[in-house]
Amino acid sequence: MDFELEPSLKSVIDHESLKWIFVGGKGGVGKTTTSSSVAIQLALANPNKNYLLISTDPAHNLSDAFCQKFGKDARKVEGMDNLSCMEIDPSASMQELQASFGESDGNDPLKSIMGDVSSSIPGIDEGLSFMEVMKHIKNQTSEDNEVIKYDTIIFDTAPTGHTLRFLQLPTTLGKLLSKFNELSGTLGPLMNMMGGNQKQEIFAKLKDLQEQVSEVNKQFQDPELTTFICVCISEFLSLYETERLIQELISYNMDVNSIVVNQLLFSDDHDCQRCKARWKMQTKYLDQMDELYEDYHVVKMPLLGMEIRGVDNLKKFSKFLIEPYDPKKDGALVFDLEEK
Amino acid sequence: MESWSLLVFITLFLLFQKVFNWIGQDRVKQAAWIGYQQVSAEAEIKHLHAVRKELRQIYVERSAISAQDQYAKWTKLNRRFDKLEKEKNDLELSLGVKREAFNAKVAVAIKLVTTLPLYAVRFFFARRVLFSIPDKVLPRPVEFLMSFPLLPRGSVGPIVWVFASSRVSGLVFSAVRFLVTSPRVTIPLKPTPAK
Repeated sequence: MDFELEPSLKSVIDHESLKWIFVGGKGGVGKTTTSSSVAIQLALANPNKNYLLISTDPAHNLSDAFCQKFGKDARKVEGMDNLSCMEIDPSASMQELQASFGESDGNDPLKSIMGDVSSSIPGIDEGLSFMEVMKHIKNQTSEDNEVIKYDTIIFDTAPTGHTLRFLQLPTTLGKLLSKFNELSGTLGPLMNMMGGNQKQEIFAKLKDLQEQVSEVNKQFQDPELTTFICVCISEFLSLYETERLIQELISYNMDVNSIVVNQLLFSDDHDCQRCKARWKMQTKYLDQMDELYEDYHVVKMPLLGMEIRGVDNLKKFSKFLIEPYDPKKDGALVFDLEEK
Repeated sequence: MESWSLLVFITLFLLFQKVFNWIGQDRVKQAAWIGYQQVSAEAEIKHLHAVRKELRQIYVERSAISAQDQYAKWTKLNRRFDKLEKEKNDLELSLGVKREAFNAKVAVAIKLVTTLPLYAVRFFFARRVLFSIPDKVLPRPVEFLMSFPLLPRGSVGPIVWVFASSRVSGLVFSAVRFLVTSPRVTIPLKPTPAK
C-alpha cells in the first residue's frame, strides 16, 4: 500500500475542470468496464453536469456493456439523466474524406503525389478521424434542435494503440508545409502549370488540419483539462505495455496520474489452490508496481464472478473506483451481480 | 641525396601511394576519426564516451536480472537506458557536424602527403640522373624522350621515372587486386540426364 497517493480515482472524479478523460490500455484488460464505471461515477457525483461517453471501437462494446443499443448519435443511458453514449466508427466517414482528399487523377501527377504523400504522414489517419469525431460531437442536437454541450467527454480508446499518435501531427505537418512553401517559391510557375488549383486545395486542407490539431494539442497538454487513465491487469505483458503507453503519453506531454489494475483475485483466505497461486503472482507484480509508480494512483479492482453488464451492475462495481475495495468487507460483491 | 636512394625512395613511395588507394580514403578518415575520439579532450566527446560506457553497464545489468522477478528494477533500468540512448543519439548528431569538419582537414592532409613528396622530388631533383641505359640498346627517339628534361642521352631522370613506374605499378596493382578480391566462383555441375 502506498501512503502518499490514495489508491482511488477520487481525484479524477472531483477534478472540476476536466474536460477530456481518456481511458486506455491494451488487450482485453477491462477498458470499457472502467470507462463506463468512470462515466457513471462522474454522472452520479455531478447531477447538474452533462457527460458523454464515446467509443471509437467498431466492435460496439458500449452497447454490450450497458445492454442498450447505441449509435453514432448520442443517446441517453437508460436510468441516468446526464450521461449519454456514442459509438462512432470513424473509418466509415474517413473513407469519404480520403476520397475527397486524394483522388487519383491520371492527368495530374502532382495531385496524386500530394495525395500519396499526405496519406502516408504518420498520424494523419488518426488525426483526420479524430477531427471527424470532434465535429460530430459539436453537431449533436437535442430534440428541439439545440446544440448539446457536454461538460466532460470520456473516451474509450480503441484497443489498437497509437490513437493519440496524431498529437505529433502539428510538428510533422509544420515541417512538411514549410518545405512545400519553399518548393512552390522556387518552382512556382512550373507547379502552377501542373494544376496549381488542386495543389492549393490540398495545401489549405493540410494547413487547416494542422491548426485544428494544434488547438486540440493545447487542450490535451493542459493537465487541468485532460487526463489519461491507464487500465491494465497484474501480469508481466500487460504491465510492460502499460509502461510503454505511459512513456508515450509523457512524450506527448499528456497528464497521466492514474492506473487501474483489474481482475485481481484477493485470494489470501480462499481455499482454491489455483486462485491462491495466481493471487501470489499478482501480488508479486502489485508490489513491484507500488515501487515503480509511486507518483500514480494505483487503483485495485477485483475480478468478479461474472461479466459486469448493465447500469445497475456497473454502478455496484464502479463504487470501488472511489472507495478502495476491501476483500474482507466487500467480498460479497464477487457473486452479487444480477444476471442480465 | 644519392641517386640510388632517390630511386628507391620514389619506387617505395609509389608503392605506398598504390596501397593507400587500395585501402581507400574513407577508411583512413574513419580510422583517423576513431583515433581522434580516443585522444581528444573535447567535452562533448568525453560526455559521449561516458554515456556509451553507462549504456553498456546498464545493458549488462539489465540482462542479468529477470524481468518477471524484479520488474520494478528492470523497468527503472529500462527507463534510464531509453533516456541515455536518446542523449547518445543527440550527441552523435551534433558530433557529426564536427566530424565533417575534421574529415575535410584529414582529406587535405591526405592529399598533401600523397602528392607533395613526388612534386618536391620532381622539382628539386629534376636534373639528377637516376640511372643510365647503355648506348645503342634503345632506338634514338626513345632515348631522346627518355632523357626528357634535357639530361644526357640515355639517362633517366625523376620525371620520366615517376611517370613510367607509376603506370607500371598501377597495372601490376590492378592485376593483383583483381586476383585477390575477385569472388570465388563455384564450378557448375554437369546436368545429369533424368532417369
